[in-house]
Amino acid sequence: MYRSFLLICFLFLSSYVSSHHKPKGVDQKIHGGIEVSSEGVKAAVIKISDAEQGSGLEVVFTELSAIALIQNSDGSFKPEVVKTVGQVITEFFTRMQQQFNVPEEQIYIFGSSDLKAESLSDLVDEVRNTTGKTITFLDLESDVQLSTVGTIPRRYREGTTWYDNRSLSVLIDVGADTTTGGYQQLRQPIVGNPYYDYVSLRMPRGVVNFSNDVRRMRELRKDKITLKEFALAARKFSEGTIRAELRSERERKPGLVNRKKVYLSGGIVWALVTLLYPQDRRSFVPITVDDLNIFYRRAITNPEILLSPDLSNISDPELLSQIQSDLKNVRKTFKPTSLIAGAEILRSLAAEFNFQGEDKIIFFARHGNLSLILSYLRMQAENVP
Amino acid sequence: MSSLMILILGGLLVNSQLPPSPLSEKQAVIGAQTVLASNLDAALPSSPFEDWFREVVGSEAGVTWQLNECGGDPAMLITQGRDLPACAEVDALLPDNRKVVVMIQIGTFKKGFSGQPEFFHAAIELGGELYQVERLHQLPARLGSESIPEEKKSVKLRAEQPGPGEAKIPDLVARAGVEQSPPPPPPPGTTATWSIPLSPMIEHAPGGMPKVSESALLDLAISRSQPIYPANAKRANISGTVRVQITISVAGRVIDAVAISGHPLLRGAAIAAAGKWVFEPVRLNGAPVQAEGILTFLFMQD
Repeated sequence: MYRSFLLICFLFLSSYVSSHHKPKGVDQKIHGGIEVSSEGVKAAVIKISDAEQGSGLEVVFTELSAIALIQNSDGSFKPEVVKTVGQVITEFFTRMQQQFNVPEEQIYIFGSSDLKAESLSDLVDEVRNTTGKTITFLDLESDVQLSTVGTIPRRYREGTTWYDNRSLSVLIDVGADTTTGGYQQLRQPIVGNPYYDYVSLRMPRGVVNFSNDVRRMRELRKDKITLKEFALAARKFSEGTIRAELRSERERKPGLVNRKKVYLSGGIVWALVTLLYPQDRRSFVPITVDDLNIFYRRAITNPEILLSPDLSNISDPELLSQIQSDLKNVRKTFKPTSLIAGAEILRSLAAEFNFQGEDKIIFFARHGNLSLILSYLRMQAENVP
Repeated sequence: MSSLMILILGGLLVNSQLPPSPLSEKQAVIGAQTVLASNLDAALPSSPFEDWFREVVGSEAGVTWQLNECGGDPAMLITQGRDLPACAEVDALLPDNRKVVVMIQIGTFKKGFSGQPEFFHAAIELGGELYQVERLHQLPARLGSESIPEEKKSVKLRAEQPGPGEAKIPDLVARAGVEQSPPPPPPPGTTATWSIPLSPMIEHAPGGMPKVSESALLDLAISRSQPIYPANAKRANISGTVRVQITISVAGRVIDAVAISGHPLLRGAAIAAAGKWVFEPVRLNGAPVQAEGILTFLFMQD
């Protein structure tokens, strides 16, 4: 049974304002998007310089207001949650118009598929009342399609030869309350032309609700629990829930197991990479199953050391400052038990989806958290005549 | 402490719980690479498929192989239950950005190898659009020209069933209020008129019910009914498409309608609308027959 609560984790997980943030007029192809998901409210502003060619996309601004929007079992929000979300949306909505000159009609507000859309009429009304806009909810398939296209590069190069990348890849996002993802699958209908289907994965467990559920287990109902006790309980709980759900998914969706490239996104993967490889700032950071195990082991045995990686070999002050800022955010966001819960989910994924398979490559997709909003915005922008 | 050790050791063996699969990727791929091309299509030479394919796509193409589900019709996935057809998939990315995909079925994921690899389907992707290649021997010609070649804009019944005549290309798709996307523009450097090779509009496997393409269904429709947007879906701003599989009686009436995809709140309205459509009877060899097809309804708010 979910209890609705509001948790402000941190305000600026990702914020970027380019030097071009003051366009001269509204005639430029500038568009703003506001995404509401169970992890908070994201905003992005993009410029499309040549929409017909599908190129020339410039990210002008992104920001996340990280609010954990846990819904009641009937999918509804408490009134105060609706109000808070409405306020955040209004702030972004106003800022996009005033600071970035985004025309009102080119601001799109949408909800991701992890919200139970059919129970959110209060939120729809709140958004309409505060902005005059209608919030659109995506279904899971659209969500997967946009996230996949937004996160996974279409092709890759070895030497001078280019190879198709998406047909070999699967995307998995470990969120606060759900683990979602999927892959692109070419499909040939009995009649008609072939098309790309997007096979979706959805498991109703993420780091926050899994951690909360573990805490509610009978053996942990006492004043003080050790991390080892929590880890054991999490393992036990995951066997009957997470593992079983993933097993059921993989039977029907073989691409979850067979795809050679696994793109992982979500806060817990960001935390893992920030803590184990703080200096690696690449958009796609390769990680291994050993990294998942090391992360898990350190989270249980010595979370303080895990949360304070050695930065003594980093001499670049700008890089050091970025890393310290990230580390601060990781510490604010994840308690040791959350790290263990997240690591348990990652290890379950690795076990059930065969991350150790021959030729498997696993990446952390650093900008995966923005893939949905950027893809959605691009799609909307390219539809504008 | 011992429990922690067990936990950690368990963690190092994350792969131990995967059940043994009757299919290995290596075997699947080798099976497809070494099968004689002539076994996949009698019009091809008796050389290994991999050699023939490489020759067709050229040495500069980036070629990858993998074990994958074959990607059949979603309606078939329902009837196939949990044992999906397994294919060796080969993807080739050409220097001009065209992509070729060929699926060779080698068995099913549960039963394992079937023994004899078979051609399942193939496609060419160009400019974001996908075009079916019905037979492998068509691939060289389709790739040989700068663009997808001009083909006749008429279709006939497939296989041994002689066609009832040529059908015109329908202008609409069965999407409430939305017109079909225009064909893509010609690729850079060409001025040829773009034409999409058409798939058969009616497919009839021996012993099965004829399947009518969506575009053909629209052509045959005498009376169309648009779905009513459900109030609760509207309130929640749920939009999207619903695909409804219909069975048409010999008289042209819809006698069965099942939603095969789409948001649950939209399915009922789509099924109700599909049930009211009336068609000219589908004919094979001039005789009216019971047939199946899929209608797609789009729900979109202003």
